[in-house]
Amino acid sequence: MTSALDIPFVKAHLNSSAIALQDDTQAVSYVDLNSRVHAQAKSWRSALVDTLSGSRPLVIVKMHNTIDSVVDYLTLLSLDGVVLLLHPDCSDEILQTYVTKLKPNAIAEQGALEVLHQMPVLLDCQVSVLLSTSGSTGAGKCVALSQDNLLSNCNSILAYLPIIPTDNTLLTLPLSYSYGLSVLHTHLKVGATICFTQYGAVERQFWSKVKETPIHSLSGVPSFYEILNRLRFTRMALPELRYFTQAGGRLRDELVTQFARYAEENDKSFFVMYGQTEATARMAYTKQNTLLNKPDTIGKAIPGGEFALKTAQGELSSTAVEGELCYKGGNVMLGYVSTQDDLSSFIKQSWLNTGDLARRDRDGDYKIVGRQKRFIKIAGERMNLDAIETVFEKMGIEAHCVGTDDLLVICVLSSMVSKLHQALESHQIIAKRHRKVVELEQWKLLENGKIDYSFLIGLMERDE
Amino acid sequence: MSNQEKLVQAFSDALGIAQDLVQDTLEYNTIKEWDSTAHMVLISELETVFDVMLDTDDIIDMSSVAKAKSILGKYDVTF
Repeated sequence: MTSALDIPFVKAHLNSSAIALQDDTQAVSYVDLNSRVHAQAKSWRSALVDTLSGSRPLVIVKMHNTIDSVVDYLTLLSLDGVVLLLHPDCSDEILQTYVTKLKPNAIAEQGALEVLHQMPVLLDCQVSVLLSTSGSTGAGKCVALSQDNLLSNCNSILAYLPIIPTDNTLLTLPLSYSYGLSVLHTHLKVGATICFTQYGAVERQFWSKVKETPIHSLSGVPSFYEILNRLRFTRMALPELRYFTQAGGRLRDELVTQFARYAEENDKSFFVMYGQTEATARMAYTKQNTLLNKPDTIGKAIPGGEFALKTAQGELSSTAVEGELCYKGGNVMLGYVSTQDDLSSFIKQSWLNTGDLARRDRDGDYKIVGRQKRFIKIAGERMNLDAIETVFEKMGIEAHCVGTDDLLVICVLSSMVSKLHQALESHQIIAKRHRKVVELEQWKLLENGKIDYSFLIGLMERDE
Repeated sequence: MSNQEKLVQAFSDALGIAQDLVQDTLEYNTIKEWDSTAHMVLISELETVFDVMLDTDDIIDMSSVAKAKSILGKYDVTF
């Protein structure tokens, strides 16, 4: 028998014959997963590690929601590698940008390893997993996480989500996304089964799989729950489904209430969760009993975590009731990475400034009331407004972007409008339904000469 | 406008694709414009244009333009 992999979130059940991973055609037990990873590690060790004179390999993984990709990921962790997980749909241009910035030793995809160079890379001893902050929409900076971060968040989540070893979960979220990855980690940690499917929630095969497997839990971003609502999910007979979780942005109150009521009346649980990749995944959660009274709350900090609000004066306060939401816990990232040099060492901050403005009520529950940082979420994927502006700038268009979740508002001067429309049509930067163009005669600037974004936000809100 | 023209217009608007791409053989998930989110926009558009209320089975069976026609047929929309 091969020895068990020494990866904290996976090592406990590797001698179990229970199913670890399952897709539309095959299933792999924990024992088999362990041997597959060992076999691949043996071959990759000679191609990748032995030539590095003791230094750890840095590898980009194009992470599909497949058994092969999970094997790739675990193989690299077992070789003590540092991995950047990229969305499988990310373009060659994005991949190349990361290759140029990070100069990885290799790229892995679905069991295939392409070695790029064998120069040792100077890597901090804790850094383990890198996640992109821009989804599949750009080559934004990465969040650097340690194995301690992953394990800490995994244990916090397991302290409140009712995951049991006999569970089958259907993972529809990308594994390159912190929420999706957290579902993988937590289920591997307890020895449960993670199922993948090539079908989406609007396809018949998806629901056959949910009923026949049967699936005990679902997780999704707001757009997933919009689809469930449209499909009259609450009227489907799903006796085996025990709980479902929502994160990745705010779901509208009406739907939160509807799903909370459904859970309450059908002896199921509904969890609304709040987090950021910067905190590995999760920072807060709440359940249907609270949501029925307060559909817009994010609840309280997860076990092992702590919130504080930063006042307008920039002080962390335990008594303030409104301010920037700050979080402390074992899951706070090591730091950001833009280039290879950033990987050599990190200065870890104990408090994470989320960039979200929050209010705390008398029960101690938090509610997000606004956002300070320059990003929005489109269909659950984070989009950095500054990065989008840079994309336009490269096309010779000065555009300034504001927006809310699922709507990017692009402001340009009248003279640039037709050029902008041409660029939007030919480059398909963002789907038509998620964008709006606002035309201005001239820019309004702040005293320091910078664009007055609050003016643009005002324009956007007036238009609504 | 004939029902065929209305259907082509609805698909073209909902998916944001050219009208000549809307052929009977066009299937869900074979072009990136027709993903799960766009599918929901499409369903709303078809419901509005043809004044029907589609049920869960209709929504998850509407996997091609041809299928859309046969499903709408159940609601007395003829092509």
